[in-house]
Amino acid sequence: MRSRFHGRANAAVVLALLAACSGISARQHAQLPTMRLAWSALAAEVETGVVVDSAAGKLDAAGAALVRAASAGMTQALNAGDPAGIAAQPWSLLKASATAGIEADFASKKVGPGVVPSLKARVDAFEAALSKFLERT
Amino acid sequence: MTMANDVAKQLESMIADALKETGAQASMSAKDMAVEVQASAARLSGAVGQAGYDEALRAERDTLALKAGLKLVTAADAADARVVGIVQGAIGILVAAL
Repeated sequence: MRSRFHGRANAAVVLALLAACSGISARQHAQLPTMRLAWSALAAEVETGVVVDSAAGKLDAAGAALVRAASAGMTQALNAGDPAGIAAQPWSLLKASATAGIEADFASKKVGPGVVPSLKARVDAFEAALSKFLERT
Repeated sequence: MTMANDVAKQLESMIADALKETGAQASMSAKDMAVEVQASAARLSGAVGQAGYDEALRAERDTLALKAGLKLVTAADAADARVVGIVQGAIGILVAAL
């Protein structure tokens, strides 16, 4: 009788743990669509930054390949909803290239000076969301 | 009440209604979202008429959705999409008023 009670209690604990884990997982993944959408714009800024920094000699071929691989890796990991893949990408390099891309777009008059703060705010908001996402992982 | 306070209250009420009506889940209160909408509008007001204005508007929408923890514009997330649409409209109206 007692072991049957313990068996039921254990099953209840396992079910509660599973429910808690699925709740954490749901919260972790809730923001992924927003991060994906923002990233699609950021990835274009990263690529512009790589092209401009390479042309200016600030980034050698190996550096450019590293940033491009990180950008592709971030796209793939976000699309797959893979927290480990997202965490594995060197965000500081991606952020530096995205910022360089925004500044290059301003320098080439593709965007006006009043547009730059909004584009940079999106980079910062993505960084904050990324940090929160990884904290929960 | 100053005009800025009045606008903030109206925005807060509009966002609160939208969240309630749609059942969308945000990690930010309607009051904080209204503050963010005003900050977005203030940034955008400097971009009116400039090259890339549309991208700046999209960037502000993304920024707000990221900060508010909204799931954003996919067919499966219609409730969140509606809130984001309302917020984007409010940013546009505020920019025009500034």
